[in-house]
Amino acid sequence: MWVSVIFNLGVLGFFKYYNFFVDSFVQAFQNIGYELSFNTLQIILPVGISFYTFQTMSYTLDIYKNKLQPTQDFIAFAAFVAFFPQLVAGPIERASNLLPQILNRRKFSYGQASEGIRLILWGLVKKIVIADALAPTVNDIFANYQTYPSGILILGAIFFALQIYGDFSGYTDIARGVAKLLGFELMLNFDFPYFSRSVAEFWRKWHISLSTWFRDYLYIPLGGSRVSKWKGVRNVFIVFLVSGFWHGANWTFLMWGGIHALLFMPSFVWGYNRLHTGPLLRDDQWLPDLKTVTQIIFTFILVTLAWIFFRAENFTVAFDYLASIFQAHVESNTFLNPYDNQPLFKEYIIIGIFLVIEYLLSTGKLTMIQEQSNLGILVDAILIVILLVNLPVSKGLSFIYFQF
Amino acid sequence: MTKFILRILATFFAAALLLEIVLRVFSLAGHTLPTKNIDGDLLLKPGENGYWVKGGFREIASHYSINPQGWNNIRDYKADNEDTSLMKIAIVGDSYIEGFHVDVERSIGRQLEHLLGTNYVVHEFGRSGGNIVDFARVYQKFNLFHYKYVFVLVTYKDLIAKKPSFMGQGKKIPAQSLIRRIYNNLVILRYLNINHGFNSQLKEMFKFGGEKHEKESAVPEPEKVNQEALRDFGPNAQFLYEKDKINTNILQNIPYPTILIDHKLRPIDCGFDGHWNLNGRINCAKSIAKFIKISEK
Repeated sequence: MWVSVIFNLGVLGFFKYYNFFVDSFVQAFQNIGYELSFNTLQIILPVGISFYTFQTMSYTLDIYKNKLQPTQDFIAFAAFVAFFPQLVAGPIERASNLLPQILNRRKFSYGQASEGIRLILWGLVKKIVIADALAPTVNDIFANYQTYPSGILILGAIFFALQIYGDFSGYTDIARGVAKLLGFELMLNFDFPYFSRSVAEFWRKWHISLSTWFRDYLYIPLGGSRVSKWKGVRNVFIVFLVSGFWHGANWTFLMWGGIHALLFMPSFVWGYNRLHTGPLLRDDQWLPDLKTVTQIIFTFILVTLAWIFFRAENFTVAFDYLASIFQAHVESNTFLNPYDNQPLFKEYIIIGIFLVIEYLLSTGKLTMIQEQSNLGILVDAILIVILLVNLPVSKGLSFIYFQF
Repeated sequence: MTKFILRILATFFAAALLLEIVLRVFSLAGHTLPTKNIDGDLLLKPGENGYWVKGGFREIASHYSINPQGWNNIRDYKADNEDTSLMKIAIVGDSYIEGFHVDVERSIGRQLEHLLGTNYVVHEFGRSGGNIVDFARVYQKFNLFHYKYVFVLVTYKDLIAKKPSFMGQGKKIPAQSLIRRIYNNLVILRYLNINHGFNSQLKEMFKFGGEKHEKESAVPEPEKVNQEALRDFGPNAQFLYEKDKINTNILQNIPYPTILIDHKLRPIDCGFDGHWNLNGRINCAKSIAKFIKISEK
């Protein structure tokens, strides 16, 4: 087991973190007056390395813990590691889920394939209509944050929260959809996280494959919550910091993880982190009560503020950006979308409709799959039309999580 | 599997139908722009009026009107030329002068007339894809040496061209084939073609063999300028340029006065289209007007 863990983490460390550690080491010594000279490497980060190294490690760890029998079929193992729909940005699959599906013969299923098409289209809508449409605004606001008043900086942070959700969950939907077309079922990676009532609930709904990976292979082996309170607190911090660092070799990601650990901590210490595990609404309800709405908005604000660290290039930018928001610099100038130099209007309408659909999906009032075939065709056709009308005339953008 | 394939086909058919309806209801696609062989040149069909639209949500939408000579202009050049009391100015160039990105009533020519006064008329000879060979032929064929001033908008790429793009190319007008008629009548095809290069993507898809790369010429940039075409212009010619589209060392190889277009106002709106907006045209008109006022002092 250790050979596998050391090898996988070694590969990841070499490609992703070597330069970061060297730079940080040199910088630390410079700060105390010593000049060190180390060469950094000019290496290109292999795309999706964080995803497939973790996936490979889960295979070894599951075998070590007797949760899985080792496969004799190398092709099947290779297909599991390099399963193309989710290779570059997850979900990080467990061998216990994906490997048996590869080893068993699959049968074409009309229902599954139709579901796959719907997921692909919905994923593309999230990516193109939401994430890519917001990207020029977000990029402009974060690049020129010093020139904008507080209101526009808040807008930039909210738009980034929606952009990263649309981008990442859109990719996951496409990956799951493509897998379904091939007869595979990948795990759910996002469960409408922005309708969470607490940060603890947010982490049960955001990037589920990564958070459950850390839960199963780091948090629980460290003792989880079945240790003393202080050790539990330590374990939570370790998991969140490592999770932040997993995203990239930058202090901002570490800080982002640390902030989430702090936000999670009160519920952990006082033991109400499992409070919001049930559905948002009762069956007879269409809208949540005021308390739930307040909880959702408050959680969204906290998560959005933390995203500033995730998006900012460095600490200075992140802190300046936050400080500028709280300085309450009010100015009534209209923000122009750098894409077409027009005031934002279409974007608000699209976001509004998107959030309503997400809300209906999250509460089960609307389902992704229709039983009726004709209605399904109409829904798919509408999604295609939405995509074509919103497709950027200039070149599209890559997925944010490809860099991880 | 058959059921699934039928479902996919039905979905695409439904999507195409829906998109056609949406595009027509919200006027998201422009009209077709017919071309015409006018004395052997590939110009626009006279008398055509309509809207030119680009962008998923009509980010750019402008009115066009093709005059009897085949240019996008509200003026009839022949009628103007018969009036000897008018001071005539010509602007020659490519799509920037053709001007489909701004209403024809607000073109560079109209801006310039507004700046110079009622004695002046401005004729624009703009055609998308035009180059120095075309511009020289336009100068000769439309007797531009009779004009008081002729302003030619060029980029480096225009200056090194050796073959014309529309002058003498009238034979290239596609016949009204069935496919052409379908294209003209289906808004969805025009929409996809203008915004997403549907036609070129199709060609790319069915292209066989690798791309041919032209060998990098060892000739220095200034020497590549097509001097033969430049010699066809008369002494009333002046060359307009933008600083990002031509190196200043090239300008020495243009044996006419050159005028830098001073973009004081933001000239472009949309990242997906580099053509000038109204500001860009005002900037161009102002640069020309400034030159004329200095020349006439």
